[in-house]
Order: sequence, then C-alpha cells, then structure tokens
Amino acid sequence: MKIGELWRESLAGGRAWLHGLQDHIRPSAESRHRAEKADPGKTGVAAQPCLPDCQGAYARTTGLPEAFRELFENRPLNGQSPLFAGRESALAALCDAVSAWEASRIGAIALVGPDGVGRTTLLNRMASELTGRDGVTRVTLEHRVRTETDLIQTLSVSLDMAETVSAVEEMALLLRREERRIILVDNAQRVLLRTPDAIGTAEAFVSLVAATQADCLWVVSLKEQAWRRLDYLFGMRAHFSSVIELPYFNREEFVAVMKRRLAAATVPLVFYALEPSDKRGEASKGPDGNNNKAASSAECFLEHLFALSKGNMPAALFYWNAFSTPDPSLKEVVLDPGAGIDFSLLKELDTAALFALAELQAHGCLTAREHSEIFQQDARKSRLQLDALHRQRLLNRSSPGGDDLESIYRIEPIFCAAASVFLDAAHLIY
Amino acid sequence: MQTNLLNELVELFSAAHLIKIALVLAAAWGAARVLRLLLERLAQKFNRYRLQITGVFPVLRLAIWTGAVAVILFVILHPSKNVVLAVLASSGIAVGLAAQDLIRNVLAGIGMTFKPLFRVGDMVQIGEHYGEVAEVDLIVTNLRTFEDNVVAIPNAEVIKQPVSNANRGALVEMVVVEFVLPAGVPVQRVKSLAWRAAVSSPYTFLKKPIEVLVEDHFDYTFLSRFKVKAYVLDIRFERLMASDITERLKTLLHKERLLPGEYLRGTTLPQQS
Repeated sequence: MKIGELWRESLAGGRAWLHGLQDHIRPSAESRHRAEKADPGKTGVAAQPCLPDCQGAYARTTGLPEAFRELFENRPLNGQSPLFAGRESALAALCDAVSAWEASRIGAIALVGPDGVGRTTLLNRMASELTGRDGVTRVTLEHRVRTETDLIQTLSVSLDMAETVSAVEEMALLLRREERRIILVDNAQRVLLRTPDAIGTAEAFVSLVAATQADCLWVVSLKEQAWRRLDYLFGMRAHFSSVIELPYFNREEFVAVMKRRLAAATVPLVFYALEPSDKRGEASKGPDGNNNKAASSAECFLEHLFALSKGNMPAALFYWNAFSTPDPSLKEVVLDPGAGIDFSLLKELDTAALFALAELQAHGCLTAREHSEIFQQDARKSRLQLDALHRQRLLNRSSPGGDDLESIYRIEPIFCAAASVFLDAAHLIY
Repeated sequence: MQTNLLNELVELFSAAHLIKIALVLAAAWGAARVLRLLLERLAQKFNRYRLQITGVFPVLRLAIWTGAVAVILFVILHPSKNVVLAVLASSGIAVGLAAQDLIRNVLAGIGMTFKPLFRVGDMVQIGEHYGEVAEVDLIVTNLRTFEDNVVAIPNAEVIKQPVSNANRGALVEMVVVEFVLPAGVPVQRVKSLAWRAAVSSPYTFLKKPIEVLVEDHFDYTFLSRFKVKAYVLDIRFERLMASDITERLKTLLHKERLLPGEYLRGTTLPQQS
C-alpha cells in the first residue's frame, strides 16, 4: 500500500515538475487552462495585455506650470528652441551640403532614421538657420500619398507653383525654370503606399527629385524602413548625394539633451535613489541643489532613463512623466525611478497584426481603408484589426474627419524601438 | 564453457541492469525532448534564424542517443568479447533479415544527419510530395503539405530519388507566378503591371530582385506567357504570396481591360505608358 502511494506521489510530482518546466519554456494554451483551473480567481477574468497609457503618464503632471510640462512633452522642438542638443554634427552636415549645393554642385540629401530620433526637429532647426534666405520651402506630407495626382496636388500647394500641372515631368520643367530653391520634405515615408498605384507615385517622386537636382536642393526626411524599401525598389542611394543617418541618442548625447531640459526646469526636482522602495529614505534636491549628492542622484536617474529608453527620446519622456509625482502643493516634483515596460505582449500577436505593425513601422501611419487596400481585405475587417491593436495601446488613433475608416493609426512612440527589434527578429522588416 | 556464457548473459540482463538501462533511455528521451522544446522556443523568438536553429536538432539528437547507447554498452553492460561474439552470431542474421528495411532507413537517416539534403523548415519536393520539412528523424522524414497533411517518407526512399529544395536553409525563396494572356496584349504595359503587383504584395521580399519574363506560347491559338519571379519573405507565406500577386494582377488587368475575355471582345487598346 505504502509503495503504491509512494509511486503515485512520485508520479504526480514528476508530472507537475514536467508541466512546470514546459510552462517555463513554452506557456501554452493548455498550461494557461491548467492555471485557470488551479486558481480560477486569479485568471478567471483575463485582462487583455496592453501597454501603459502615454497620455495618462503625461497627465500626472497636470497642475504644474505649462512651461515646465512642455519641457517633457513628446513633440518636435521649434527652430529656435534652446533645448536643441545632441544633433549638432547632423546639422553641420546639412549646412555643409547647402554650401556645396550653392557652389553649383548637384545634390539631394536624405535624412534617415527611426521614429523619435528628431528628424522633424532637425528640419525645423535647419529651416531656422536658413531664415532670411530666399527660396526655402517646407513640404510636410500629412497623409499617405495614394496617387500621382495626390502627390502633384500636395507638392503644388506647398511649392506654390505658378501653373497647374498634371504630371511630375511638367512639375520638373517648372521647377527648373524657376529660381533655385531649397525644398525641405518632412515625412517622405508617406510617399510609398504598398498598393500598385502608389508604387507608381513613389517612382514619380524619386524621378522628380532626380530630375531637378541641379536647380533644387531636396532635403528629404524619412523613416529608416521606408528609405530601405525605396532603396531596394528604385536604388535611392544613386539619386541622393548625401545620406545622413540618425540613430537614437548615445549616452553622452542623451545626457546632454536631458540636462538642457533639467536646466530649464522652473520647478525644483527631487530625485530618489535607485534602491528598493523599503530602503528609500534619502532624497536629494535638484537641479538647483548645491550639493554633490543632488547632482549624483540626477545623474543616476538619467542613466536609468537611458538604460530603459536606449536613447529613444519619446520613450525617455514617457518614463520621465511616469516616474514624476508632483508634490501636493505643486512646489516640487519627485522623481522616483521605476521599472521598464514589459513588451512581452508582442509575442501573443498573430501574423496579421504583425504585418500591420510592420507596415506602420515602415511608413508611420495607416488608415483602415489603406490597410484594406494593402492587405486586400474588407475595410471593416481592417478597422477591427487596427482597433484591436489600438486597444492594446500599441497604436494611437486620431480621427480628423467623421469617417471611421479614415481614422489615422500610428505606432505609439514609446514602443517604436521595441517593435523594430521584434519585427526585425521576425523577419517582417529588413 | 556454455554454462559460463549463459550465466554471463543472465547477469548482463539482470534486474539491476535493466533498471539502469531504462533510466538511461528515459534520461536520453527527456534530454532530447527538453532540447527540442528549447530549440523550438528559440526559433520562435528569433524567427529570422528559425531554419538554422531547428537544423541543429537532428545532429544533437543523434549525439544524445549515441551517447546513451554507448553508456549502456560500455558502462552498464560492459560485455565480454565471448558474449558479444555469441550474441552477434546467433542473432545477427535473423535480426538483420527481419529488420533490413528499418536498418536501411536508419542508415539513411544517419547519412542525412551528416550530409543533409535539407533542413527542418525547408520547402522540398520529394517524389510527388511538396511541402515544408516538419521533422527529420532516424527513420522517416515528415513533410507538411499545403493541405496541412503530414506525409511520412522513409529515409531510404528519400535518398533514392532526386530532391528539389526551394530555399536550402534560407528563410526566403523564389516564388514564380505564371499567367497567360492573348498574344496581342501590350507586353510592356502588362510587364509593368505585373511588376507593380509583385512589389506591392506585403509578402514580397523587396531586397531581392523582382523580374517579369515573357515567352510565346501556343495552345490552339497564339498566347503570351508571363512569369513573375519574386522572393517571399518567409517560406511559410509562399502560397499566400502567389495568391496575393495573382489577385492584384487580375484587379489591375481588369481595371485596364486586359483580361482575356474583355480584351478579346475588341475593347480599345490601352495607351502604352
């Protein structure tokens, strides 16, 4: 009897150990079911995994002076902003390219980098440096360009064309006849929509840039993946004299950028040390603090931010806001470092969702209608798929018009770097 | 002499030895299983290197089982020369005759481990079967077809015939989409549409060249056969990509009234771009 019981116990123990091992290696649907059976209270109502709320993090500092809040808001800096830092070498390269072009050399410049590296800020700064000079035009592509007509209309308005044109070849002729000008194009990744018509549009844009290089200096800013796709299709490197690649900030650049913002902070900051919460008793004030300890805590905090964000500014600013707690009297802000975001929910996404993310990662934005054109499916189904990702806070959504199918979805900036790594490992971006 | 041999044989297969052998075999089975789970997990995480990771498994599994057999023979049993000779003489011919197919398959499996014709994950054509290599063990190779059937092909059969491997360990492979149109269609225009259809498919791997070829074809009448050659970004999407390109191309041809029915009805020729 004893032997039988012992045997059964051993068998049960062995099975539990094996299941535990399997769960550790591959948490399957079966193991989740087992977990639910074992503890229904814990997993009975399974919450859908989602990312933290970016807007919610920013809302934590509501009540503080707007000037202070804007320092840590995720948006491009204007041309004269004193907060501009970390991109001095790229700005110098752009200015050199302008000088070379003025010396009658043909040129077009591509400004390439992932979301959040500061391409728009750099273009703003460049436009500001060129203030007072004639013939500087800014073009911002606000939406995905679907047809050649759409492209021509957008460019005609921004370039203030004197005559109406119906083809890019005519536009090129007009541009060649006019005064030499510098054209700064932002969000050029939106020129390539993966539909047969839009492929022709991207080709038309590249041919326009190539045909007018002697008379126009094109400075085209676009996302890294879109650049690669265009390069594979049309050999972009052959048409651009200079490609400036902007990676995320390195440690030194990141610290310099953040210190610039800390120096402009009008509210005293209190940094907690990076220690377990039960051991925290010491805080230090900054940035006006006059002791070394305050400076050291701020440095440690910035190091922690860099480690979490890997130099991705939107992510760093999210963490900053998430770790900020204003004093009830709003006289100071406590910065209490916490843990990073868990992106493991990406592993649960199905193939269709991953393809949609890859498209967004490459081109920045997408509507349900565009998604349905790219993936050749019903627009309603596309909207459901994009909405599901929006509910998980992987995407944010803006609805400029009343039409739901025209709502614009974008990848959450805090998630861009992680998405890039994941999609690259899945071989959906390359 | 015979009594000694018998005693030795009985001692070799004593209860203690049998338990030890069972434990070693169980340990080898467990190790192979854990290894497989780990590699599957790793392949799932790094999809880009999926085929390389899963390709290592057959070699490691063979090493585990070889190690297990070696431990049983040389550590647990450790038979004398006389016993080995007696066992071989008495059972060798009988076992060899009874299990010749099995042995042939195992030998082919061992050969394929060291000189692989394909890896797990490759898209191969063996005989009349085309599909993804799902598993290669010592006896059979399992192919998963597009109809989601698993076809088990004995390893001896695999090495006996030509094997066509579409990707040879790479994640991308060329997909050819063919379509036939009346000989009079504007070739340049159709080629341009076919290229756009291929480029705009989300499954197309843009890093590799995309080509559209055309050749004459006769089937009761003169025709033009177009071949779109593009690479799919993951072999698992091969059929999806072919279907996607065909769908896009049909839409484009329909839009330009170039589909055979519409074109032959005498509609006006589209302008060459």
